[in-house]
Amino acid sequence: MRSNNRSNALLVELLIVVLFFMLAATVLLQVFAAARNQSVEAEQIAGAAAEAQNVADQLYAAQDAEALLQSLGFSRSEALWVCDRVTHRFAVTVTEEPSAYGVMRRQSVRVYGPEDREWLCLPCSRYLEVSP
Amino acid sequence: MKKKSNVSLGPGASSLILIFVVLSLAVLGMLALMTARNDDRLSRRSAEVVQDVYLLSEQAEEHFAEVSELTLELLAKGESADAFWQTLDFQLPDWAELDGEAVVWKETDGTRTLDCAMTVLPERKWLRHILTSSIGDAIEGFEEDFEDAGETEYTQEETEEVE
Repeated sequence: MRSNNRSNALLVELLIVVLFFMLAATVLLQVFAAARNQSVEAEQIAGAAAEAQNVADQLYAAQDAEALLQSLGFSRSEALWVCDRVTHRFAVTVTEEPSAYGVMRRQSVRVYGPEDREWLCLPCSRYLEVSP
Repeated sequence: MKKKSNVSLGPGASSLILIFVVLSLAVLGMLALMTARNDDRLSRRSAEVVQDVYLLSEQAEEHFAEVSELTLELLAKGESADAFWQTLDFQLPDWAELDGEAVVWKETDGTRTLDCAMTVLPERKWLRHILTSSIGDAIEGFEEDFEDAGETEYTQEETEEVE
């Protein structure tokens, strides 16, 4: 009789333990998932920033911005040059402002994340002198 | 004959194991979350710094364009070298000054300073600009931390010559 009571108590305890473990596991899984998501986003931002810098530096040095953007896989959409990646999107604007002795080529590289949130905007304008 | 192993779980043992496992997982979860948050913050901060540096460079380019226009205008007049330097010194904007044969100015955003110099060379050739970036006073302790290293600034030279 005593042994039977003890087994019952053990079973009830085990049941409570399993239920509590499931509850704790549900919460902890969410914590791990949130950590993973945040880590992935951090990695994406770092990668996108490096890529944007690369594009901005190439644009600054380029003589023909349009040819460069085409070679980098950008496509023209009205006044913007866009390039879609899996996790983010690049948008580049290029306009030219002529002056008396040169041209100010205004350029900027923007990076948008999910839901069109702007991650980064890198201006990389360049003044090009016209040879006298 | 084989002896039957008789392992029995005493009352409360499973609860103790559960507490240990859940606590361990909770600690691991918190560590993972903290690491991810710090990584995220670092990535965003790094992106902000990159953006700030590019904004400073953009300002420098604007001012470089202004000085270039002025220089080209004076060169187009075909004045003598002395007259050229005198007029250039006189007509330079407030934020720029003549230092020998270079026009120098500073770009700042409060935390960083970009020292710019446009070296004007004879025969209508000039170096585009030399940019020297140094850490401003706003970041306290930076210079002290790196005092032993002996260097707190770096120089980026662009040696492209423009005809």
